[in-house]
Amino acid sequence: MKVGRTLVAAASVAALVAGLTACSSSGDPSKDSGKQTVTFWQFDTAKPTIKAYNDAIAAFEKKNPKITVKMQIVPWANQQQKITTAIAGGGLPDVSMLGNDVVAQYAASGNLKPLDSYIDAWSKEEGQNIKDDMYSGDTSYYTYKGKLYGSPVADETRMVYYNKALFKQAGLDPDTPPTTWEEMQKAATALKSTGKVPWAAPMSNQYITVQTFMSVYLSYGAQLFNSSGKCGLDTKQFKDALTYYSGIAKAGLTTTDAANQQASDLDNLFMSGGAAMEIQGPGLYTQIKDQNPSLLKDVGIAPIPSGPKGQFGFLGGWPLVMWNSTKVPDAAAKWIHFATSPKGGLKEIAATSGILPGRKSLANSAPWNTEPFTGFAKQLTKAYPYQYPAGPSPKMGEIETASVQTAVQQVATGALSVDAATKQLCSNINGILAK
Amino acid sequence: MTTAALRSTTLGRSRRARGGTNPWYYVTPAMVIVGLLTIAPLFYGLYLSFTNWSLLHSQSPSLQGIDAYVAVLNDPNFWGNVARTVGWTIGTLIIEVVVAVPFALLLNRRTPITGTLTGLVMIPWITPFVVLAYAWLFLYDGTSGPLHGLLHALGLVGPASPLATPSTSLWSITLISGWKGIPFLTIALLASLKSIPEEVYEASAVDGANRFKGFWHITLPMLRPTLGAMCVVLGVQAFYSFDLVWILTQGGPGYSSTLLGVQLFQTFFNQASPGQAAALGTLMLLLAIVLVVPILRTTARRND
Repeated sequence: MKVGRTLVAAASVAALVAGLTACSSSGDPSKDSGKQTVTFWQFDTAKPTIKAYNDAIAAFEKKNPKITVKMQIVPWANQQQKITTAIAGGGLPDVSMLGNDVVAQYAASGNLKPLDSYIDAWSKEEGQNIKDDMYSGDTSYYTYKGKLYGSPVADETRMVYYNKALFKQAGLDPDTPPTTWEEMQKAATALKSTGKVPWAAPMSNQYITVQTFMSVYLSYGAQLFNSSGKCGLDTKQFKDALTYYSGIAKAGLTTTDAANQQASDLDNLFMSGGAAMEIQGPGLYTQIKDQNPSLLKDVGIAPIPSGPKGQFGFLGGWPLVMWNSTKVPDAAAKWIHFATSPKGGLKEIAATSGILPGRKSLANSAPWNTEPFTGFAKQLTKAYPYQYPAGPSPKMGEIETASVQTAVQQVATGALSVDAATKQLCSNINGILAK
Repeated sequence: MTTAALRSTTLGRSRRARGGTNPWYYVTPAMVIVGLLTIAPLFYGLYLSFTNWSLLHSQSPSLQGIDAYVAVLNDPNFWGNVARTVGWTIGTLIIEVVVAVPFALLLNRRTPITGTLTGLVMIPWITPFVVLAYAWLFLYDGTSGPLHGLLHALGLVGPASPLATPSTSLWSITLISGWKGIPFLTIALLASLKSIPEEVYEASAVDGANRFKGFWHITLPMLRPTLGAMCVVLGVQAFYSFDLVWILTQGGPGYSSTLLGVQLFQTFFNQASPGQAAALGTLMLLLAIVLVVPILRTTARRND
């Protein structure tokens, strides 16, 4: 009797453990059939983009019947958490998109696989040197210690969207948009008379703030890192830039809640005709075309304004990367090449996303050889990373989120003076760099 | 006693006398689940807190003494975050108690609308958190938010949303946090009120006690155990808060609404430092114990 009970108890514990073990293991169905499965994290949640990727996957699988690509949508807003959790606890995909600014970070931590040997092979396959077909900004962002870790999908930069009807209403010439930051401020001041938000300038702790503000501080001659590799922002140039940019909020030239608004709030405001100016990427044009096409006739798009040291655009973009934990590197590489090649799925993917493709040869062809894309492509030649002229920093992801935006927000809301915010900013950056 | 009952009692006695291990058979599966789901992560977290593991520097954790604790305690924002978290927790509890006690007393009276009102009170509790947060974001909006309009007219806030203003962001979210917890406390207190016998009030009325004295000397002492237990539950919940603040302000403007929960999230995800995040989590646990024990002791003493 006792033996029987013991057996029952042992069996129940064993069943429980077995069940839990089964839950934690997804198994590899591809082993038996000789097929290989490539897991792929895609960050864009827009339906046309998802469709474009699904189409590309179908075409790829047709061409490579022994490889299956399993796409998982991980929204941009959650990707950092998802990747960090996967690095700590396992579960990284074979391939994923990645923000250009954090490629160096994951390369430095040993989580990414260098792609040089693959890219050399792909170059032979395509009959052109792929590295020459990449934008120099991308090459710089994706290279860490001499090795290339990303194959570019998209590139983007920001330009000034302005509402010509509101310009006319304020007595401004709609065909002469501002070309310097001072002119931008003057135009914004004049646009106050329209009763609309003159310039939907972000002041929050969201990415959009640093993506806009970096064009100001670089054009004022400020540099994120000094020659010793430490914070280089405690300078007159940076303080002047911060004074200028936060002054837009203090003068009431942006939204009253700019310190706590997301990019989508500002985009919606411009799209509804509630704001006269906004600095945004080519995606906003596609959004206006889809959501409020009647506004298009009033929309002007102008180059990013210059500061005392010139014109500096934001360099956005994302590559596909291969994670070091992959068990199917060759299949993963094949998918990366297909999705990022002008002869593969890149054209469709970039065209539906309303972004510029990360390959120059493709960006020179339709539909990117028409406005407004030609303007963005031209602006892209004057787009730089946050840390320009320094090279990629493994700490950039943390610096941009934890420091630069907070400083802008604190000065814009009057919580700190420019001097105090700059001092705190450099202390934070140096703290991050020292870790 | 029947023969069967006698046999059963005798068997029970004989098993106890043998020091039988039967109960363990039944408890083991549950213990394994509890162990895997709660105790194991707790100990793993404690282990991680002594590693200072950074995902940017190493692929796996290795013991490094108290480095992670030193780093957390030397963080210039840590003590400010502690102060804000304690203030937020106390503020949340004050709002919950001040509103829920009279509310429960009101709902305890038999009126035609009591049932409907009790149902309505539960709405904030059962509504998804994200929906509530976005609704409040709209109410506080600096351009079109009705609540902001009212607060601005009263001169309590400036032209911008209180969430976009460093001096008002924390208290405006504390208000939401307290509001969210009111239903749970109200229902718990209502259940407690229902268990107070009517005869006790009748006896006190015979002795000449008025309504206030009845509340002070009968209702409140009898509610105290429930109130104490609920304050612990809701206080701990508020202390570990993250989601509400993250959705509404992400801890800003600046650091004006950064709580320890937000710092923990940022330490793990933005700084990719599981070691320091675990150290911060352990410190939060210790702080929560320090805050909770006095409440539990006070409640237990009064019960004695």
